[in-house]
Amino acid sequence: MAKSTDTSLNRRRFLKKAAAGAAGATASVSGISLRAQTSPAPTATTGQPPAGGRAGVGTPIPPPTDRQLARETGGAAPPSVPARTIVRPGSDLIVDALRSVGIRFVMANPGSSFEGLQESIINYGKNDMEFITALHEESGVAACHGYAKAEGRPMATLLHGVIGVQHAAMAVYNAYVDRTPILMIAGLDYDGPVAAHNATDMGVLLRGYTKWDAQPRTLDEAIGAIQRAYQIAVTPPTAPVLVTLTADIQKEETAGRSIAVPPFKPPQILAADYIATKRIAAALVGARNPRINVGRLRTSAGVRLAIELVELVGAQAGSSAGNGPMSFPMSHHLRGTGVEGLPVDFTLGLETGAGGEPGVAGHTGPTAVIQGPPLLATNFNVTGRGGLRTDSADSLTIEADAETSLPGLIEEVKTLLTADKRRLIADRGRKNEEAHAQQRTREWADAVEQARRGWNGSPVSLGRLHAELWPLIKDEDVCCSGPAGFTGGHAPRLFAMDKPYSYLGSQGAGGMGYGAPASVGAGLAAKQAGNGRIVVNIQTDGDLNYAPGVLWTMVHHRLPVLTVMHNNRAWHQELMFMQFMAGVRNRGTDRMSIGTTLKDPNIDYAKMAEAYGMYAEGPIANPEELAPAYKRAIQRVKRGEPALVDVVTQPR
Amino acid sequence: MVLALRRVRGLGALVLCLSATLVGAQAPAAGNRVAADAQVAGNPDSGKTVFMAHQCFGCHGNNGETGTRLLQEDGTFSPRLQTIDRFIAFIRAPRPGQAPPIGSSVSMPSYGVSSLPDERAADLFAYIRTFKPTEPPLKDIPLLDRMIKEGGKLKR
Repeated sequence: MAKSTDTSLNRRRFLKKAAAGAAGATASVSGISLRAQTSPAPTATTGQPPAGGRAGVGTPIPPPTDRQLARETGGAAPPSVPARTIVRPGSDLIVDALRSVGIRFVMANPGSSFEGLQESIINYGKNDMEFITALHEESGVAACHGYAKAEGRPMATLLHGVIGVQHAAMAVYNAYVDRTPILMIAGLDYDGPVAAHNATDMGVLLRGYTKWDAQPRTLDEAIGAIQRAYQIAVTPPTAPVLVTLTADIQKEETAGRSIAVPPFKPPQILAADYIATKRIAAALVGARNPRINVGRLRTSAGVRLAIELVELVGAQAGSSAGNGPMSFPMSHHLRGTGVEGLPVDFTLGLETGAGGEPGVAGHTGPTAVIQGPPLLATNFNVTGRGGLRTDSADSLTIEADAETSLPGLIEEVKTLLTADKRRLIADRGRKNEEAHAQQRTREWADAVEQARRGWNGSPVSLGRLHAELWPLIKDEDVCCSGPAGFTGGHAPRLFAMDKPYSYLGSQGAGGMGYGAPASVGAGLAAKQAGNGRIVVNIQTDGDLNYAPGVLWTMVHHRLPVLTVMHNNRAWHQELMFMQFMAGVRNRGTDRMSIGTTLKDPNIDYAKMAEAYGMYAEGPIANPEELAPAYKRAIQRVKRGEPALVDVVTQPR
Repeated sequence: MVLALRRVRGLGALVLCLSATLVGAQAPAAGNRVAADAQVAGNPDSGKTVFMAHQCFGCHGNNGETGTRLLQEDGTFSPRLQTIDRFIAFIRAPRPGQAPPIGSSVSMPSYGVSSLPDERAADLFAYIRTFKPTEPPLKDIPLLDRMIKEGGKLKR
């Protein structure tokens, strides 16, 4: 590798000189003059229009420079530079920092403000980091959202200065409200081709709904900021974080300088204190009929610990696995409401439910809840998350991480288990297991009955859409990635919800454009698992149309994702809202399809998928055609590629 | 049943009543469904146009079996669809003078006379009453029968 011959000339100064030189001449690419035709010529020294140039509202609008024009029109060529290469660019060390925190995937839509880092990830980081191509920054962030919910840890995304950050904003808000950690890196290039991509304070664009952001001034600071950002993201309350990296930091030469990435120190996450732990352990062991409500824990390790505690005391267990990830398995033999008629005399809540409700919501009598601190937001109504129960004299509320608290609690419980207690617990466990079996049979019968509704109807009922999938995936390792709120709620009822990633839950803040990109993240997690896990995404049509290019990402990166379209040709909830509104005003509902439906023309999602290179079938309105189409699609998915089946459905 | 619901233009209610009476005589077990049929004065074909234009299927499915069901699980119609009077009374709510609800809702919209005259409402009623269940009993759906047999017993 050639060695740098001129380390004294940094890139920024070089580009400034190059720009000034270029501005002095009339550039020509392919014989076309790039000089702005209607504006005064920029001055040779600044590239700005002379005084008295064409004015906008109060402020003169500078014409684009020749260099900007050339770049925008694809005519820019690399500047002529002396024979010179960078041996160890700063962005290589940023990659090392990403490695140090365990980042495996970085997803981005390209942007010149992070071209240095992108090159480092692709070349320098190629052995242990994969660059995932996004067609929209919102999709990139939503993919990180889905990945973190499936994996329990963040992946990273790169955002182009200002505009990429703005594109990403809604998805960041979703993730924030959903308490999901994401590592975001924004590029900032003061010498970039478009001045409007710069910001003095990049973080302000997302600050209302990110947990932390930094705009480091040096490479040393940047390395520290990456590690610090990751620490903060995964520390409860988990949430997205942002580090803004200047192009100078990414591109500076570090050869010969003693800059190193220190080992990453995982965060010290707060556990319940000793006294509280002892009190809870005593209450659990002393209770005649204890209940443990398991909300959304941070990682799969937390889920294993929760199972251990429940089994240790033979408690009945509540689960939010039907609402989101990282909770108690629904078919565990102790999950359920226990013996009918036998009152619960102590309830322990471990984190909030997927909907943010306290883990002991609705329970009277002695309770304790261990849950992480709430998210704070000054301008958004996210306060429903993490509210602590404090309304009972019998309640013990501990603001600490349940997952981190569980090992100590388990050990403390073990110290209290006498032989008599163990016999009582074994007996209680058997009764709770019988109760679980009965409850599960009832739940299953209800789920199947729900699926029967409109069985032979055309368009296809949502129940049948899901039921026909059941025999084809029941023996597979499945991550159900899309929210079930707009698909009739059949998936959590019919499909196995027994693994930490079985169901990834809702969008968080209800922002549309989430399901398909979150499935990309889930697909990356499945691919990473390498055990044949597949992703099933029941995808609403309105949601897909926000950024359908993500289908290409699935194909390009060979992700095992089955997309089944719930194609009801409308933003259906909004249609119903509008119908009700028209009724209140007695104006009739016959025009409420305006602005709420996706008809005339109907959208052909199979063709859309095929355009992105994906195997697809449909549209299917005859329910008899579902199973054969599913089989063919699932064969593809099990081979490690995505497929889509477009099902024309009943609205609800 | 379907024939009994169809109005033959020009012959009017007499034919309808006669048809309904005949149906009633043939199928006394149908009970109040027959009684409701006797009061139908709408045109189901026109009613279908109303059903589609107002997107009633949005909440009730194309056959009244999904979402907020019009057909009950036993195949009969819900109480509000037992007679046309009850149907119209329901869709007219909230009545004048009653404070309209505030905020979004996916509840049943109300339809005043100006937005859905009685005749159109009768057509709609007649069309809805043509709905027939498409959902066989569980035991007659091999897949669901298998699901019940397997899923309720095995850990999934």
